[in-house]
Amino acid sequence: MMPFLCIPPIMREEILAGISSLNGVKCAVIIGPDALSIEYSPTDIDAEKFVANWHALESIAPENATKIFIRTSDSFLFSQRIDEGHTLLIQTDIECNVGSMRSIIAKEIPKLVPFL
Amino acid sequence: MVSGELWALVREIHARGDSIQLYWSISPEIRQWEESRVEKVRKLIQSTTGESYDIERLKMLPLDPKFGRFILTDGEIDYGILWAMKMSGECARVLAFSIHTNLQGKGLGHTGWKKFADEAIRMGIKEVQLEVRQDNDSAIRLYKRRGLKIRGQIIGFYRGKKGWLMFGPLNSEPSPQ
Repeated sequence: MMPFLCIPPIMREEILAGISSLNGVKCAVIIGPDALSIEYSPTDIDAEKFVANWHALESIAPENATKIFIRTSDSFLFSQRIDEGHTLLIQTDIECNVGSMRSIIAKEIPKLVPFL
Repeated sequence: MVSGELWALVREIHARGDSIQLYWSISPEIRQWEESRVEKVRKLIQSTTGESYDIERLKMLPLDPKFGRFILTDGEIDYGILWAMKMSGECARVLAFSIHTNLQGKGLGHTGWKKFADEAIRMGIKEVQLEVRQDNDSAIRLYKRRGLKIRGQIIGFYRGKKGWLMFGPLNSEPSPQ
């Protein structure tokens, strides 16, 4: 049974690595139901910092808020819902078109669902 | 649209005039509040920011018990709030900072910020981050005078407006002009 149990995290890691290697993507983080990161790519980022930042923003988002994203001097930060309890947080470089990237990420998200 | 209930509060403030003694105090956990009190604060936030919040979401905010649940009160009514959470060991996030519109410009924002900052600093917090609407000049001025700088722009958060993401050292007093 052990090898089977190990497969989902490995697959998830590979799918996330694929997302983070998309042109313009700096990093990708899966946030779990408890608002903590459960997987991130690349692995040398301060994922908790990203997640804490985003969670704080979402927790106080007004009712009418839609498709929130943050633009800094060198990056965009936005999220995509994976399922009821999971969110994918994406940081891209500043040249990235957020709308286009959302569409690309949306196509990748179904691949993650079986491995959460 | 301002509700009748809010107008009643406005009339009450006018009637009581300068005789009311307002002070910033730490409130109990929001989820322990009566529904009507949360609703009044929800309307306060709506009247000062134009933003509408879900009442259940307000009750679930992860506010810090030591420095994150300040209310401006006369002992009976909430006239303002400064709600904050801990983001990491040394960084706090202000989630809501609202003062009744009739009480703005009286230095109550300054005293509220000082109360929050003094307590947060005592708890080891050194940095603070917050969001503010780009057209909220007085708030932006207050934050900038305390050393916060614009770190990014928030899109899709406020109704029809963009916001600033501000970050900086946590100072209780404004820098000299």
